[in-house]
Amino acid sequence: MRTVNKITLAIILLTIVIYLVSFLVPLPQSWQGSYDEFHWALANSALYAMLHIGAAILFLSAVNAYKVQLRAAYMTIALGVVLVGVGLAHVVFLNIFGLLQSPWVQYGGVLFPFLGAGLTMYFGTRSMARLVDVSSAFARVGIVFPVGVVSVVAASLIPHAPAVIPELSYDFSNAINVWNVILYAASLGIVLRIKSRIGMHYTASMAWLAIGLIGSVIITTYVLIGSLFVGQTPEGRVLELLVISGGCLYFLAGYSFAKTKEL
Amino acid sequence: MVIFKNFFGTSQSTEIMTSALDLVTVTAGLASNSDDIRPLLGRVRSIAERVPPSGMLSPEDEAALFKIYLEMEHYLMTSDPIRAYTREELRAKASRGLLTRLEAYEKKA
Repeated sequence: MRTVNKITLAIILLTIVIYLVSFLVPLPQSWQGSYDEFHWALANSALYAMLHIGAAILFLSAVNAYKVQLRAAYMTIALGVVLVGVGLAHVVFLNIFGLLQSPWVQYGGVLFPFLGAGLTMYFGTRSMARLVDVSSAFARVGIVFPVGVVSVVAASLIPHAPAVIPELSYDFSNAINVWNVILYAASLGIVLRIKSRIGMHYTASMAWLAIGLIGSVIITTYVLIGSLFVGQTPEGRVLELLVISGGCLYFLAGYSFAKTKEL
Repeated sequence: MVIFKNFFGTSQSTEIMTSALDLVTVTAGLASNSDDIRPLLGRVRSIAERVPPSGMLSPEDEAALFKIYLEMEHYLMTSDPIRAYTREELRAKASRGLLTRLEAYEKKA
Protein backbone atom coordinates (compact mmCIF):
# COMPACT_ATOMS: atom_id res chain seq x y z
CA MET A 1 0.00 0.00 0.00
CA ARG A 2 1.29 3.47 -0.86
CA THR A 3 2.60 5.56 2.06
CA VAL A 4 -0.02 8.26 1.65
CA ASN A 5 -2.80 5.67 1.79
CA LYS A 6 -1.30 4.13 4.95
CA ILE A 7 -1.13 7.54 6.66
CA THR A 8 -4.70 8.36 5.60
CA LEU A 9 -6.02 5.04 6.84
CA ALA A 10 -4.21 5.48 10.17
CA ILE A 11 -5.74 8.94 10.64
CA ILE A 12 -9.24 7.70 9.77
CA LEU A 13 -8.93 4.79 12.21
CA LEU A 14 -7.62 7.05 14.98
CA THR A 15 -10.48 9.50 14.35
CA ILE A 16 -13.04 6.71 14.64
CA VAL A 17 -11.47 5.48 17.89
CA ILE A 18 -11.41 8.96 19.43
CA TYR A 19 -15.00 9.58 18.27
CA LEU A 20 -16.21 6.38 19.95
CA VAL A 21 -14.15 6.92 23.13
CA SER A 22 -15.82 10.34 23.50
CA PHE A 23 -19.05 8.52 24.37
CA LEU A 24 -17.32 6.99 27.41
CA VAL A 25 -16.30 10.31 29.01
CA PRO A 26 -18.15 10.83 32.33
CA LEU A 27 -20.72 13.61 32.44
CA PRO A 28 -19.25 16.74 34.12
CA GLN A 29 -21.16 18.22 37.05
CA SER A 30 -21.38 21.59 35.26
CA TRP A 31 -23.37 20.08 32.35
CA GLN A 32 -27.03 21.17 32.37
CA GLY A 33 -28.33 19.18 29.42
CA SER A 34 -28.94 15.48 28.84
CA TYR A 35 -26.43 12.62 28.80
CA ASP A 36 -26.84 12.16 25.03
CA GLU A 37 -26.49 15.89 24.25
CA PHE A 38 -23.18 16.03 26.14
CA HIS A 39 -21.69 13.01 24.40
CA TRP A 40 -22.81 13.97 20.89
CA ALA A 41 -21.40 17.46 21.38
CA LEU A 42 -18.10 16.09 22.72
CA ALA A 43 -17.79 13.46 19.98
CA ASN A 44 -18.55 15.98 17.23
CA SER A 45 -16.01 18.47 18.53
CA ALA A 46 -13.40 15.68 18.65
CA LEU A 47 -14.35 14.89 15.03
CA TYR A 48 -13.91 18.55 13.93
CA ALA A 49 -10.48 18.64 15.54
CA MET A 50 -9.32 15.28 14.14
CA LEU A 51 -10.46 16.03 10.58
CA HIS A 52 -8.56 19.31 10.54
CA ILE A 53 -5.50 17.96 12.35
CA GLY A 54 -5.56 14.95 10.02
CA ALA A 55 -5.65 17.28 7.02
CA ALA A 56 -2.64 19.18 8.37
CA ILE A 57 -0.74 15.90 8.90
CA LEU A 58 -1.41 14.93 5.29
CA PHE A 59 -0.24 18.33 4.02
CA LEU A 60 2.92 18.03 6.09
CA SER A 61 3.56 14.41 5.04
CA ALA A 62 4.42 15.57 1.53
CA VAL A 63 6.33 18.80 2.14
CA ASN A 64 9.77 17.21 2.33
CA ALA A 65 9.55 16.49 -1.42
CA TYR A 66 9.42 20.20 -2.12
CA LYS A 67 11.75 23.15 -1.89
CA VAL A 68 12.07 25.16 1.33
CA GLN A 69 9.86 28.04 0.20
CA LEU A 70 6.92 25.80 -0.69
CA ARG A 71 7.38 23.87 2.53
CA ALA A 72 7.00 27.14 4.45
CA ALA A 73 3.88 28.09 2.46
CA TYR A 74 2.22 24.73 3.01
CA MET A 75 3.18 24.62 6.68
CA THR A 76 1.47 27.99 7.04
CA ILE A 77 -1.64 26.68 5.27
CA ALA A 78 -1.59 23.54 7.44
CA LEU A 79 -1.38 25.73 10.56
CA GLY A 80 -4.42 27.64 9.32
CA VAL A 81 -6.36 24.40 8.87
CA VAL A 82 -5.39 23.23 12.38
CA LEU A 83 -6.42 26.57 13.90
CA VAL A 84 -9.85 26.28 12.25
CA GLY A 85 -10.45 22.80 13.63
CA VAL A 86 -9.00 23.39 17.06
CA GLY A 87 -10.78 26.73 17.31
CA LEU A 88 -14.15 25.12 16.53
CA ALA A 89 -13.54 22.17 18.84
CA HIS A 90 -12.44 24.30 21.76
CA VAL A 91 -15.61 26.42 21.56
CA VAL A 92 -17.64 23.25 22.01
CA PHE A 93 -15.41 22.15 24.88
CA LEU A 94 -15.88 25.51 26.57
CA ASN A 95 -19.64 25.15 26.23
CA ILE A 96 -19.96 21.58 27.50
CA PHE A 97 -17.57 22.12 30.41
CA GLY A 98 -19.42 25.26 31.53
CA LEU A 99 -16.65 27.74 30.70
CA LEU A 100 -18.61 30.20 28.54
CA GLN A 101 -18.53 32.79 31.36
CA SER A 102 -14.76 32.53 31.68
CA PRO A 103 -12.60 35.60 30.91
CA TRP A 104 -11.19 33.71 27.87
CA VAL A 105 -14.67 33.84 26.29
CA GLN A 106 -15.99 37.09 27.74
CA TYR A 107 -12.95 39.13 26.64
CA GLY A 108 -12.69 37.59 23.17
CA GLY A 109 -9.69 35.32 23.65
CA VAL A 110 -11.77 32.47 22.22
CA LEU A 111 -11.62 34.23 18.83
CA PHE A 112 -7.84 34.24 18.48
CA PRO A 113 -7.61 30.79 16.82
CA PHE A 114 -10.10 31.96 14.19
CA LEU A 115 -8.26 35.22 13.59
CA GLY A 116 -5.06 33.24 13.25
CA ALA A 117 -6.71 30.78 10.87
CA GLY A 118 -7.82 33.45 8.40
CA LEU A 119 -4.45 35.22 8.42
CA THR A 120 -2.32 32.08 8.08
CA MET A 121 -4.50 30.69 5.31
CA TYR A 122 -4.28 33.98 3.38
CA PHE A 123 -0.55 34.49 3.80
CA GLY A 124 0.16 30.82 3.09
CA THR A 125 -1.72 30.85 -0.23
CA ARG A 126 -0.21 34.24 -1.05
CA SER A 127 3.31 32.84 -0.50
CA MET A 128 2.50 29.94 -2.79
CA ALA A 129 1.28 32.30 -5.53
CA ARG A 130 4.48 34.35 -5.31
CA LEU A 131 6.55 31.21 -5.44
CA VAL A 132 5.02 29.99 -8.71
CA ASP A 133 5.03 33.54 -10.08
CA VAL A 134 1.28 33.81 -10.34
CA SER A 135 -0.10 37.31 -9.96
CA SER A 136 -3.55 38.05 -8.59
CA ALA A 137 -5.38 41.07 -7.24
CA PHE A 138 -6.38 38.82 -4.34
CA ALA A 139 -2.72 38.51 -3.36
CA ARG A 140 -2.32 42.27 -2.97
CA VAL A 141 -2.53 43.23 0.70
CA GLY A 142 -3.12 46.82 -0.39
CA ILE A 143 -6.43 45.72 -1.93
CA VAL A 144 -7.59 42.93 0.38
CA PHE A 145 -6.94 44.58 3.74
CA PRO A 146 -8.80 47.84 2.97
CA VAL A 147 -11.72 45.77 1.65
CA GLY A 148 -11.61 43.84 4.92
CA VAL A 149 -11.61 47.00 7.02
CA VAL A 150 -14.50 48.53 5.07
CA SER A 151 -16.48 45.27 5.35
CA VAL A 152 -15.89 45.11 9.11
CA VAL A 153 -17.12 48.69 9.56
CA ALA A 154 -20.15 48.05 7.33
CA ALA A 155 -21.04 44.85 9.21
CA SER A 156 -20.87 46.64 12.56
CA LEU A 157 -23.62 48.97 11.38
CA ILE A 158 -26.05 46.14 10.55
CA PRO A 159 -28.86 45.87 13.14
CA HIS A 160 -28.81 42.61 15.10
CA ALA A 161 -30.66 40.71 17.80
CA PRO A 162 -29.72 41.61 21.38
CA ALA A 163 -26.30 40.10 22.14
CA VAL A 164 -26.07 37.37 24.78
CA ILE A 165 -22.43 38.27 25.53
CA PRO A 166 -21.14 41.80 26.25
CA GLU A 167 -21.77 44.06 23.22
CA LEU A 168 -18.06 44.79 22.72
CA SER A 169 -17.24 41.07 22.63
CA TYR A 170 -20.12 40.52 20.21
CA ASP A 171 -18.90 43.27 17.87
CA PHE A 172 -15.34 41.93 18.09
CA SER A 173 -16.59 38.43 17.26
CA ASN A 174 -18.53 39.70 14.24
CA ALA A 175 -15.56 41.77 13.10
CA ILE A 176 -13.37 38.66 13.09
CA ASN A 177 -15.99 36.68 11.19
CA VAL A 178 -16.29 39.38 8.52
CA TRP A 179 -12.52 39.66 8.33
CA ASN A 180 -12.23 35.90 7.87
CA VAL A 181 -14.89 35.79 5.14
CA ILE A 182 -12.81 38.34 3.21
CA LEU A 183 -9.52 36.49 3.83
CA TYR A 184 -10.93 33.05 2.95
CA ALA A 185 -12.50 34.49 -0.20
CA ALA A 186 -9.21 36.15 -1.16
CA SER A 187 -7.34 32.89 -0.48
CA LEU A 188 -9.86 31.12 -2.72
CA GLY A 189 -9.24 33.64 -5.49
CA ILE A 190 -5.49 33.09 -5.20
CA VAL A 191 -5.79 29.28 -5.26
CA LEU A 192 -8.06 29.36 -8.32
CA ARG A 193 -5.50 31.54 -10.10
CA ILE A 194 -2.70 29.14 -9.18
CA LYS A 195 -4.84 26.21 -10.34
CA SER A 196 -5.29 27.80 -13.77
CA ARG A 197 -1.52 27.96 -14.26
CA ILE A 198 -0.12 25.00 -12.42
CA GLY A 199 0.80 21.72 -14.14
CA MET A 200 -1.69 18.85 -14.37
CA HIS A 201 0.09 16.93 -11.62
CA TYR A 202 -1.07 19.52 -9.07
CA THR A 203 -4.50 20.50 -10.48
CA ALA A 204 -6.55 18.15 -8.31
CA SER A 205 -4.81 19.22 -5.08
CA MET A 206 -5.46 22.88 -5.89
CA ALA A 207 -9.07 22.06 -6.76
CA TRP A 208 -9.65 20.38 -3.40
CA LEU A 209 -7.96 23.23 -1.51
CA ALA A 210 -10.25 25.66 -3.36
CA ILE A 211 -13.30 23.62 -2.37
CA GLY A 212 -12.09 23.55 1.24
CA LEU A 213 -11.84 27.33 1.17
CA ILE A 214 -15.35 27.59 -0.32
CA GLY A 215 -16.47 25.56 2.70
CA SER A 216 -14.74 28.01 5.06
CA VAL A 217 -16.40 30.98 3.35
CA ILE A 218 -19.83 29.31 3.64
CA ILE A 219 -19.37 28.32 7.29
CA THR A 220 -18.05 31.72 8.37
CA THR A 221 -20.83 33.51 6.48
CA TYR A 222 -23.42 31.24 8.07
CA VAL A 223 -22.04 31.95 11.58
CA LEU A 224 -21.98 35.68 10.83
CA ILE A 225 -25.55 35.87 9.49
CA GLY A 226 -26.80 33.53 12.21
CA SER A 227 -25.30 35.64 14.97
CA LEU A 228 -27.05 38.73 13.60
CA PHE A 229 -30.37 36.93 14.07
CA VAL A 230 -29.79 35.28 17.47
CA GLY A 231 -27.24 37.54 19.16
CA GLN A 232 -24.63 34.80 19.49
CA THR A 233 -22.90 32.10 17.48
CA PRO A 234 -25.68 29.85 16.12
CA GLU A 235 -25.77 26.26 17.35
CA GLY A 236 -27.45 23.13 16.07
CA ARG A 237 -27.31 20.39 13.47
CA VAL A 238 -26.83 22.68 10.46
CA LEU A 239 -23.62 24.17 11.84
CA GLU A 240 -22.37 20.76 12.96
CA LEU A 241 -22.93 19.31 9.49
CA LEU A 242 -21.29 22.31 7.81
CA VAL A 243 -18.24 22.10 10.06
CA ILE A 244 -17.87 18.34 9.62
CA SER A 245 -18.24 18.76 5.84
CA GLY A 246 -15.65 21.54 5.90
CA GLY A 247 -13.28 19.29 7.82
CA CYS A 248 -13.79 16.49 5.30
CA LEU A 249 -13.02 18.87 2.43
CA TYR A 250 -9.74 19.98 3.98
CA PHE A 251 -8.94 16.32 4.68
CA LEU A 252 -9.45 15.57 0.98
CA ALA A 253 -7.26 18.57 0.11
CA GLY A 254 -4.54 17.23 2.38
CA TYR A 255 -4.80 13.73 0.87
CA SER A 256 -4.70 15.14 -2.64
CA PHE A 257 -1.60 17.21 -1.86
CA ALA A 258 0.11 14.26 -0.19
CA LYS A 259 -0.41 12.24 -3.38
CA THR A 260 1.52 14.81 -5.40
CA LYS A 261 4.71 13.71 -3.66
CA GLU A 262 4.62 10.45 -5.62
CA LEU A 263 5.02 10.70 -9.38
CA MET B 1 -20.18 16.04 -14.41
CA VAL B 2 -18.03 17.51 -17.22
CA ILE B 3 -17.67 20.73 -15.20
CA PHE B 4 -16.43 18.78 -12.17
CA LYS B 5 -14.08 16.70 -14.31
CA ASN B 6 -12.64 19.87 -15.86
CA PHE B 7 -12.30 21.51 -12.39
CA PHE B 8 -10.21 18.60 -11.10
CA GLY B 9 -8.22 18.23 -14.32
CA THR B 10 -7.15 14.98 -15.93
CA SER B 11 -5.28 12.73 -13.57
CA GLN B 12 -1.79 11.84 -14.69
CA SER B 13 -1.49 8.31 -15.99
CA THR B 14 0.27 5.83 -13.74
CA GLU B 15 0.90 3.42 -16.59
CA ILE B 16 4.29 2.80 -18.11
CA MET B 17 4.85 5.15 -21.07
CA THR B 18 5.95 3.71 -24.36
CA SER B 19 5.65 6.80 -26.55
CA ALA B 20 7.82 9.91 -26.56
CA LEU B 21 4.64 12.00 -26.89
CA ASP B 22 3.22 10.53 -23.66
CA LEU B 23 6.56 11.05 -21.90
CA VAL B 24 6.64 14.73 -22.85
CA THR B 25 2.97 15.30 -22.02
CA VAL B 26 3.24 13.74 -18.55
CA THR B 27 6.52 15.52 -17.83
CA ALA B 28 4.98 18.87 -18.81
CA GLY B 29 2.28 18.30 -16.19
CA LEU B 30 4.91 18.38 -13.45
CA ALA B 31 5.81 22.04 -14.03
CA SER B 32 4.51 24.26 -11.25
CA ASN B 33 3.90 27.12 -13.68
CA SER B 34 3.01 26.06 -17.21
CA ASP B 35 3.86 29.56 -18.49
CA ASP B 36 7.55 28.77 -17.93
CA ILE B 37 7.43 25.94 -20.47
CA ARG B 38 4.91 27.48 -22.88
CA PRO B 39 7.35 27.64 -25.81
CA LEU B 40 8.11 23.94 -25.35
CA LEU B 41 4.39 23.11 -25.16
CA GLY B 42 3.83 24.97 -28.43
CA ARG B 43 6.39 22.77 -30.15
CA VAL B 44 4.80 19.62 -28.66
CA ARG B 45 1.41 20.73 -29.93
CA SER B 46 2.64 21.21 -33.48
CA ILE B 47 4.18 17.70 -33.48
CA ALA B 48 1.08 16.16 -31.88
CA GLU B 49 -1.12 17.63 -34.63
CA ARG B 50 0.63 15.56 -37.31
CA VAL B 51 0.71 12.25 -35.41
CA PRO B 52 -1.46 9.73 -37.32
CA PRO B 53 -4.40 7.94 -35.65
CA SER B 54 -2.21 4.87 -35.11
CA GLY B 55 -0.02 6.93 -32.76
CA MET B 56 3.18 5.87 -34.53
CA LEU B 57 5.76 8.63 -34.50
CA SER B 58 8.19 9.18 -37.35
CA PRO B 59 11.88 9.00 -36.33
CA GLU B 60 12.17 12.76 -36.90
CA ASP B 61 9.17 13.53 -34.69
CA GLU B 62 10.41 11.19 -31.98
CA ALA B 63 13.82 12.89 -32.04
CA ALA B 64 12.16 16.30 -31.84
CA LEU B 65 10.12 15.15 -28.85
CA PHE B 66 13.21 13.75 -27.13
CA LYS B 67 14.89 17.12 -27.59
CA ILE B 68 11.87 18.85 -26.01
CA TYR B 69 11.77 16.28 -23.22
CA LEU B 70 15.44 16.86 -22.36
CA GLU B 71 14.83 20.60 -22.18
CA MET B 72 11.84 20.02 -19.86
CA GLU B 73 13.83 17.57 -17.80
CA HIS B 74 16.60 20.13 -17.36
CA TYR B 75 14.05 22.78 -16.35
CA LEU B 76 12.38 20.50 -13.80
CA MET B 77 15.72 19.42 -12.34
CA THR B 78 17.15 22.91 -12.03
CA SER B 79 14.60 25.70 -12.35
CA ASP B 80 11.16 24.67 -11.17
CA PRO B 81 10.37 26.95 -8.22
CA ILE B 82 8.74 24.40 -5.95
CA ARG B 83 10.49 21.10 -6.53
CA ALA B 84 13.82 19.79 -7.75
CA TYR B 85 13.09 16.53 -9.54
CA THR B 86 15.73 13.89 -10.17
CA ARG B 87 16.40 12.30 -13.56
CA GLU B 88 15.42 8.91 -12.11
CA GLU B 89 12.05 10.21 -10.89
CA LEU B 90 11.25 11.78 -14.25
CA ARG B 91 12.21 8.71 -16.25
CA ALA B 92 10.74 6.13 -13.84
CA LYS B 93 7.54 5.61 -15.82
CA ALA B 94 9.21 5.27 -19.22
CA SER B 95 9.28 1.78 -20.68
CA ARG B 96 12.63 0.09 -21.17
CA GLY B 97 12.37 0.45 -24.96
CA LEU B 98 11.55 4.16 -24.72
CA LEU B 99 14.40 4.74 -22.26
CA THR B 100 16.82 2.96 -24.57
CA ARG B 101 15.81 5.16 -27.52
CA LEU B 102 15.99 8.29 -25.34
CA GLU B 103 19.47 7.42 -24.09
CA ALA B 104 20.58 6.64 -27.63
CA TYR B 105 19.34 10.07 -28.72
CA GLU B 106 21.14 11.71 -25.77
CA LYS B 107 24.44 10.08 -26.75
CA LYS B 108 24.09 11.32 -30.33
CA ALA B 109 23.05 14.86 -29.34
